[in-house]
Amino acid sequence: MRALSADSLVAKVPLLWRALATALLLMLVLLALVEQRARILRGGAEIRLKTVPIDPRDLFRGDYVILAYPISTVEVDAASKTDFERGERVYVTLGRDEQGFAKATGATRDWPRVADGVVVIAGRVTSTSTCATNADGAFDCSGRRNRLRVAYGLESYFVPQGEGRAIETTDKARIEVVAAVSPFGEAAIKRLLIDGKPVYAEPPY
Amino acid sequence: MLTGSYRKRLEADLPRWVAEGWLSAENATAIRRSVAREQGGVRLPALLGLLGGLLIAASVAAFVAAGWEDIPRLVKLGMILATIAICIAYAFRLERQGSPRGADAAVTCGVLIFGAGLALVGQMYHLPADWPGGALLVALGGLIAAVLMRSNGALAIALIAICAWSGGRWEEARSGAHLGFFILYLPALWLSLSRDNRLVHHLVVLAAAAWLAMAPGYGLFDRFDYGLLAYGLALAVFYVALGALALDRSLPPVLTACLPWGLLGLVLVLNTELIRILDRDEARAGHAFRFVVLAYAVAIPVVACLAGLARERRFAWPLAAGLAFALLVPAVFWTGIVTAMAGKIIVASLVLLAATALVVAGAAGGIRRLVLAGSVLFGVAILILLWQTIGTLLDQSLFFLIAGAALLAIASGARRLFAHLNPPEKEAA
Repeated sequence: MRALSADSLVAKVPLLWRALATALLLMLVLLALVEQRARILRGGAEIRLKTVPIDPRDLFRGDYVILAYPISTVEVDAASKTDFERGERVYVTLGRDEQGFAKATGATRDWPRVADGVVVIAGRVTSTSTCATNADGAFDCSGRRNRLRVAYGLESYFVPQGEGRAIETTDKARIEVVAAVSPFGEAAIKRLLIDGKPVYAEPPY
Repeated sequence: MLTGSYRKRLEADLPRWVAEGWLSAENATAIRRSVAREQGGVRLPALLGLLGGLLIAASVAAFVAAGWEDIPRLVKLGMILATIAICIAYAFRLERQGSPRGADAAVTCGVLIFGAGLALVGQMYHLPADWPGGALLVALGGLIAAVLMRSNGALAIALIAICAWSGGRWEEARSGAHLGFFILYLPALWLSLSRDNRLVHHLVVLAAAAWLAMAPGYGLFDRFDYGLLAYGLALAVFYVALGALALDRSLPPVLTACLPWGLLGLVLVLNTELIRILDRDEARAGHAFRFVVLAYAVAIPVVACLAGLARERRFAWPLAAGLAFALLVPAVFWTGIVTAMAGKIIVASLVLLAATALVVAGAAGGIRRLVLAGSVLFGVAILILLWQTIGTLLDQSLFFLIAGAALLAIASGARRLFAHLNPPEKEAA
């Protein structure tokens, strides 16, 4: 029993090596997380996103701004007969509208076959059969409820303490986000613009 | 049975052992010195160090949350990495100097700052507020430090983070049990087997309890099902029997931490069942769903093991009997006689019998927790019976009279039996 104890096995390695390994592993986890995001910002395909207010009364919470986009609700083709579940990973194919903003053209469970240059973004289903959001940000529940609500990891934007109010008072239609999407569909916010002018820009490091 | 009151009991016993001539005065002094060294004095600097470390980690967390932009983000990240390295280096130095508790405090501080670092990276790259994901990374960091630096503080942080991660994912998925929990819990459990830290033992036991509580799935909690009470009762019985068996058979000390939590669950569930059966609207026939059957299938053999394998039968048999009485309570609900007077009388009697058995087992085995739990269960049950009576107050009075008379008869019988088994020393001589 004693021979199988975790501590007595570990004690065979000298303390100096163990301390070095602990410090290096903890730091590596943090650096790996940084590199994973920086890689998206460095090499990802850029998409422009219009924002819609998710909660018009309280856009600013704590020290981050909550953002939602037209692509946050995705129409699912009724003919595809795919029942998505809450929490499931989905791949959303993006097209462009006449102004150049991204719009969702379909959602699949597996990586879709797409032409070169078409951006696919990965997300997680947060609810099924949700209502649509119209341009004012109000919910429109009149049509068929075959829409998914999808989170892409682009929904919070951290700002220095006290600066969130400025964004909150800005008319939501003037806010635009530029995101980078990696070849694997992971996305990260790259710039936040008001009236087309960059307000915050995110360098990779 | 190393409990907090060990030193007090030793102080009471040592003079008697010396007087009896079983122990020399020098040996008694040596024992006292050893226990004092283990429990007091030397711990103080490490304890203060731990509190200081916690404050420093909180300061780093607040600094990160402020999102102060005058310092470039990379410099902030560098500062956090450097602080982690300093904490671990300091832990190395303290361990070398023979202060393992101080080293533990430094490693704990390092793991907390690692958590603040995760928050910083989340803020730098606007990661979504996925707190279960963050908890998973904190748990990984905590486990790494707990294994390599043999830190109890890091293991405690890891266990709390494992629960937060698993609970968060369970709540998100809104389905059944979260099996991923065991990927991190089993290594933590393995580590805890070689630790003598009570906080770690309690957290290990509580983490398992939290997972077991969530296992039946989100839906049952969403639309509350009374079967959950039976499930909770079977789990509490399992915990009490396992803890008692661990105390009696000297199993790994981590298992003894099951006892207090099992007793707490037992007292709460039994009293809730009693309130429920006496309430006109809530006294409904229940049913056992799959998890209740599974929990009973585990609890009954463990209670049987306690009765059959325990060394000290005077303590194990009454306890096993009490636990069996408790397990019968939900069975009364399943039979459907709950709405009749008979059902109410049976459940009230079973609860009082279980309470009495706990007190008897506690007194016979010298385990004060059992006596306390049994007394609380007994007292609260009587208050509940006076508040929501079985039938009229007169019926209730008759119930108490018969129950009291039965107990007095048992007490008198037991006194005669003990007098017969242990004759006074003079006669024996």
